[in-house]
Amino acid sequence: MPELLTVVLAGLGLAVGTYAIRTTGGVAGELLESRPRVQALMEDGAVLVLASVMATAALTDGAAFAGYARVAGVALAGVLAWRGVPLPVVLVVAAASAAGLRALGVA
Amino acid sequence: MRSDRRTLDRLGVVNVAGSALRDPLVRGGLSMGLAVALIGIAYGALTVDGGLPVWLAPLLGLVVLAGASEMLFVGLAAGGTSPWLAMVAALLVNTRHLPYGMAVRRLLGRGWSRVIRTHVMNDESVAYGLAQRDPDRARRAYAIAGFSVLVGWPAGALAGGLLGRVIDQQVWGLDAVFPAVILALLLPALRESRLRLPVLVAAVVSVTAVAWAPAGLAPVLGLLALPLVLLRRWRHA
Repeated sequence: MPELLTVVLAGLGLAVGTYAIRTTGGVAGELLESRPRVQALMEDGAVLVLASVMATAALTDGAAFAGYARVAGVALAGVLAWRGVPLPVVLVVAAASAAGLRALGVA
Repeated sequence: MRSDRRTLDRLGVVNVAGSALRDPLVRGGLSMGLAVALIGIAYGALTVDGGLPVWLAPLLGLVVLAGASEMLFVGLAAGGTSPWLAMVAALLVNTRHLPYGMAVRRLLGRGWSRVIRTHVMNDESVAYGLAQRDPDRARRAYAIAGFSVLVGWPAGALAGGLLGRVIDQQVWGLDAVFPAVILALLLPALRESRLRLPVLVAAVVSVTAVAWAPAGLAPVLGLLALPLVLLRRWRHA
């Protein structure tokens, strides 16, 4: 375990760096603002990244497969959301179905 | 009971809170704060489990406000990796905020509001904002989700640190909540067929990349599907 002060300082460095990345994105977006096609492409790019975040979070744990219970929970949530079920219900079902499947022995 | 309620109504308290909660935009945003709070519990527990103090996870939650990167940072630091190396790895995870910032630049506003709205940029607020068609609703949705997460995430982290190992993420199915939030928010974008194939390719590329890419960088590689968006747009033009 490294010294706590170093961990805290590095953590603050992470905060500053992350904020810098967020600001840079906003500013870069504005510099390209005058080109409507580039704008639309940026929004599609964010959707692609979000979809990738979702897919990796649903399917993987570290570098390994996350297991069928989580995947099934997320898939069921997707079906309900698609049918217009309110978000809070969707989230409860996601957790409950993953937990339920595990209780039944599905990994 | 009923007369109490009327008294409160007269005070305007119930009216304001009630009408805010009847707004589906607010309800959706608040449920996102609740969802990240549940995941935050696991994060707080992980931090304490690694021998780090209870206040560290809520503090990082507040000032970094990017869940996956904090969990990686704390995990690495507790495991004996140099904190500075852990910082670099965690920053790599947050590179996805660059395309996020470009996409939501119009939701950020000006002046002080911009300073704060930039800080609450995260997976949930970006997805919630982009899911709205109307620009005003998009700005509100982004802010509601952003501040809801700004409160929920550190609060959950604190609770998790105090509860310690009482809550097992796997047993409660909490690991399914985060991807479910993002999936639900992405669905409006997928109702248009234009993005379906690129999104599928992005998902396949990033999931495949998890096996070899540095931790957290895989989702950004989903951008490799961007030429497909261009191609489809060019063909339909």
